[in-house]
Amino acid sequence: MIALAVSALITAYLLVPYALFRFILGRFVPLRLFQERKTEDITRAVVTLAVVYAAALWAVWFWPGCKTHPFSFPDTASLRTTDYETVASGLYSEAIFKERGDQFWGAFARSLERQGRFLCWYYAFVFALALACGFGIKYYGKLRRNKVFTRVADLYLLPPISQWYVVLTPFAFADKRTTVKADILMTDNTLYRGDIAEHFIDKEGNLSGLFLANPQRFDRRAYLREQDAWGSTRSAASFWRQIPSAKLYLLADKIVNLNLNYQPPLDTTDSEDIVKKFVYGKGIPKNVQFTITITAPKQ
Amino acid sequence: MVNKLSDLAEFLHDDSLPLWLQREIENQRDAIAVSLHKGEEYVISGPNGEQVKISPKAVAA
Repeated sequence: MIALAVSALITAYLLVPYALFRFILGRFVPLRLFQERKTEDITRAVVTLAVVYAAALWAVWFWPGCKTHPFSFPDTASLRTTDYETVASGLYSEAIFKERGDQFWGAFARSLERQGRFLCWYYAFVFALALACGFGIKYYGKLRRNKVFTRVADLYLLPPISQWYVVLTPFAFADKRTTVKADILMTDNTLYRGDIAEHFIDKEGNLSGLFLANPQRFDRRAYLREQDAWGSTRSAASFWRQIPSAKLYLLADKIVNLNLNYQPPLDTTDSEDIVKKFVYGKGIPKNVQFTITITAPKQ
Repeated sequence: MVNKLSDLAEFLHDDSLPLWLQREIENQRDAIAVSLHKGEEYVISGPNGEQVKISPKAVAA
């Protein structure tokens, strides 16, 4: 009986809330982006649930609304202690269970109501935390200007996230219309370019492959032929050939390097600062003060 | 040195501009500098009708 009770407690207090947390988080961000070792994952789960447990316990003990709802009944500290004692004894020993009979079932029913009340709030808190984490990760690009948020994110939200997710998606950008453009050199010296549409990570957290949208291949042979024949070539842009494919899959172990360029729409709030920084970076003296105004095309 | 993912995110933001704008700024750097020195506004137009105005502080005010 004790083993059964412990299993039920582990399920109710650890497994269900953890599954609930991951389920809610999964509505906001793909869970495969989390790249943690098993021990780190368990540690994070235990610490998270311990904090939520403590918060829910505090609420149920001291917060008027949570103290009595749901499953309200007249309760006292001494009745609670007696009930738990009776239930624990009854579960431990069959003789005590038979001896106490109705007293056991009364105490058991009240204990179930108390635990039910606590679990309701515990799950509600887990739900709220998962929701907050989901929003935090999903809107990281917008919220990252806030220093407090960035500290919390560095401490709790970001460590389990795969660096490939940060690098190959618009995760860090406020505007999710940002495209990640890539020039990709393969082991056979073929050069591709396009927009990164999707990427895949293996169990160790390594990049296993990626999909390129609007893929183009650099016609190196024509380029070299032109160079040999004329001693010079037209601009490199003339040698890019559209690949008749909606999406091109490239195996990561055939990739030598990735040249990435992030292109958010120009109408974002960050754009003017980025342009300004870029202009200064190109050699305009720092004492020359100027402002940037961007007029984006009408959608 | 990028130690945290937030540093990486910050790093990714640097120069995160459309290529046409990067190229225009690079190619027209001297003209931009001369315009700003003269106190004149400099306008870069994009392929889809975007306009980037670089205005000296005095003109902007």
